[in-house]
Amino acid sequence: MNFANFESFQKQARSAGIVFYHTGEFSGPIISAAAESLKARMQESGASGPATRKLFSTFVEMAQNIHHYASESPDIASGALAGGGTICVIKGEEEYWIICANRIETARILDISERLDSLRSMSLEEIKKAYKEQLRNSAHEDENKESKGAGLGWLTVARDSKQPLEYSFSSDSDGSGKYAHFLVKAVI
Amino acid sequence: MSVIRAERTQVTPEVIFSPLENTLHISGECYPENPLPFFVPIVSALKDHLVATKPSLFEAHLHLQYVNSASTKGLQSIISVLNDAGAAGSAIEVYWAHDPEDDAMEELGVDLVEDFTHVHLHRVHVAA
Repeated sequence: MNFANFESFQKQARSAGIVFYHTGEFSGPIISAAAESLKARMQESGASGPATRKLFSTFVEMAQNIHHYASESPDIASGALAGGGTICVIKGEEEYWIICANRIETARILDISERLDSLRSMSLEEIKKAYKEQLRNSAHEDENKESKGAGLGWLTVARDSKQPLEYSFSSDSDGSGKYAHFLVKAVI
Repeated sequence: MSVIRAERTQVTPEVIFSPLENTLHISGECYPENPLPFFVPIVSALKDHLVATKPSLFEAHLHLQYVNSASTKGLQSIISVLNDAGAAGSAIEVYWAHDPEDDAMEELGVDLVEDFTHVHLHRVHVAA
C-alpha cells in the first residue's frame, strides 16, 4: 500500500463515520485500553452519559465474547483472524453502530442463531425479564465454576441496542467448512 | 480477621473490607474478562467474617459505574453471602449508589437483591 492508497483509505473511513476499528487479538489490556479510549472520545464529542455507557458496555461485551470464542477453540486463534476478530464503531446521524465479527465453529451456528433469534423477537421489557431470570438461574450454579458471563452477555447487548440485534453468518475464507464468519450489529 | 484493601485497577474497582467496622466498600468500574480472581477472595473473607462473628449490623457500600455481564454473578455471590448473614440475624444494609441517569445500573441493583429477602437495599443517587 502506498501513501496515496492509505490516504484514500483514511478518507473513506472518515466519510463512513468510523470512529473505531480494530482487528486481531482482543486481550484484556487491549479491551480495556480501547474501551477507555472510546469512552473518552464519546465524552469529548458531547454524547450523553447513558449513550456513552451503553456503547462502552456493548463494546466490552462484544470484545470479551470474541476473546472467549477464541480461547475456547485454539483452532480459531489461528488463520485469517488470528487471536480474535474485528470490532468497528460507526457514528451515524443520531446513533452509533457497533459491529463485531469473528470466526466460530460451523457446528455452533444453530445454537447461536436460536439465541439471537429469540432475543430479536423480544421487547425491551421481555429482555429485562429474561435478564432477571438468567441472573436468578446463575445464582444456583457452582460459585467456583468459571463464569463465561452466565448467558447474560447477549442479553446485555440486546438491552442496550435501540434496534433488534442483526446478525449474519458467512463461510470462512479457509474453505474447509469447519468455520464460519459471524457478524453482529447493535445500534446505540 | 482479614482486612482487604485493593486499589482500583483499569478493570476492577477499589475494595475496602473492614471486619472491625463491619463494612465493605466497592467503588469503580468492574469488567474483568475473568471475574473469579477478583471476587473469590472477597466472597470468602466476607463469608468467614460473617459466620465467625455474627455482627449485629453490616453495611455494604457499592458504587459501581459499570459492571460487565461476567461480573454480575460475582456481585450476586456477595449479596448471597450477606443474605445468609441476614437470615442468621444480622441487619444487612446495602447502599447501591448510581448515576440517576443510568437506568442499567439502577436496575442491576434492584435485580441483584430481588430474591434476597434478608438484605435491605438503599438506592443512593450520585451524579456521574
